[in-house]
Amino acid sequence: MKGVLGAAIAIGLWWAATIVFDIDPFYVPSPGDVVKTFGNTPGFLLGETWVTAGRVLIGFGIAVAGGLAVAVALAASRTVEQMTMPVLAAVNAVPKVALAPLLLVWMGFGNTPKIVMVVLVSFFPIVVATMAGLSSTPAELQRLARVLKSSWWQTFVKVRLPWALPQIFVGLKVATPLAIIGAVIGEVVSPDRGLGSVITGSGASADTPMAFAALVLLALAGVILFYLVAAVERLVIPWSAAP
Amino acid sequence: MITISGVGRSFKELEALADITLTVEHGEFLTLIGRSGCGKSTLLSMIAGLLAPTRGTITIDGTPVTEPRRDVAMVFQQPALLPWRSVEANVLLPAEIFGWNAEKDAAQLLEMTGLAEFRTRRPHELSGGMQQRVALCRALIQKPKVLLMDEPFSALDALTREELAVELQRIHLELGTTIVFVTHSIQEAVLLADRVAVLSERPGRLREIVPIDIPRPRSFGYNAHLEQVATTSARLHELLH
Repeated sequence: MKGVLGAAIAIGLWWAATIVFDIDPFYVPSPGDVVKTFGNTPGFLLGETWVTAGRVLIGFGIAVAGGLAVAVALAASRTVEQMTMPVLAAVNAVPKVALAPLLLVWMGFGNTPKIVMVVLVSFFPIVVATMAGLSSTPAELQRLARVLKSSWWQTFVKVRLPWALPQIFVGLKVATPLAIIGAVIGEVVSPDRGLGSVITGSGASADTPMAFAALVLLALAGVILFYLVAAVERLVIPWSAAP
Repeated sequence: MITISGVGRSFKELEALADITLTVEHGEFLTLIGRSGCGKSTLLSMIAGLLAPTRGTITIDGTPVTEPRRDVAMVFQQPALLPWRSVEANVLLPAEIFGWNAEKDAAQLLEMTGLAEFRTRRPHELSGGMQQRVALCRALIQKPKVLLMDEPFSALDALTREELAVELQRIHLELGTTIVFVTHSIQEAVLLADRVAVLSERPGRLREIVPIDIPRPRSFGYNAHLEQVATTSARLHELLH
């Protein structure tokens, strides 16, 4: 509820700013102009949103599945984990955005390079967070597992993985906005469909309200995806909701 | 019966424990007492099979200890409970790992320690003393011949410590499990132990074994053996300084 109020105040301030400073709608349209644009072409904008959302969801799904699998495989052995951690950190530091033109060369147009970009940007935070979570098992729980002679798999399923879940979800929450950013970058670099392409197109035709409408839809999609992940988190780890 | 003969342990150059020879009888409550860093926890880890001695051997009922055994359970200074499991599910963890069916035992143990009504609660809803009771139940579900306790009450407040010590005494009388209990509290040692093994400072050596002949059940409050308690405490105090 407080979140809705905050959003309403932010929109109010935006509106007030366009009036008080008498900003030319060509540069910054008011919320009213944006709503009007949306009203004129609702089917078109929703369709493009759906295209982008599809790319985000597919890419994010691949990144989650792949990220978890890779992290679990790497965390299986202390040695492998210590060997790969710096490599991962280095790869994670490479600006994936800079790869967008290369993806275009390698994969051409269409869905694939956009989805690949989503995977690239959201994969590493998930891997890093999961590995950090898996290696954060407290010493006393490790000792308990040893006293009970629990097998690697038993320790993993009963202790390490549940212990890592809160950190895994931190990684997922970091990755959600990145996934959307990835899709938009892909679409801006090689526009075909999707909200990124809409923004590129409206920039060319100086249709600022249209670009803003696309931005608002992207922000909305980001909020929805974030709260979806948060809802899953509350379902999977009810104990961490407690202080 | 636990026999410890000529046991020593070094960590690289550092000699933590030297030449310990000691026998713990069936059903005995032995307390290991000593100052911080005297190697008493190291000795306990070696009995548990978590750590190999660099010299000497340890046997339990005639079998040399080389790895953890199911009939030797351990309680740590921290309760080490799984935060996502209920009290009951935490108690059942060892049974699950061993592939035992122990729901009945768990219910019984929770009844015995007064936790029955908290069965479905999660650890964070319990006080520190209750969490440590859960850890004790989790150790007892292994039906251990030997229970190893590594300063189990030292993270608790003074009143809870006394309460739990009295309760542990009752459980020991009831179950007759052999208990090796590490502490640096003289008071706890005198209340609980049949014998107190006093370790010297690093490298830990066995300075003396003090038998405690005060009749059970013992209590912290006023009792008929105050003088005996005072003399024994004074003797232990002397040995530790």
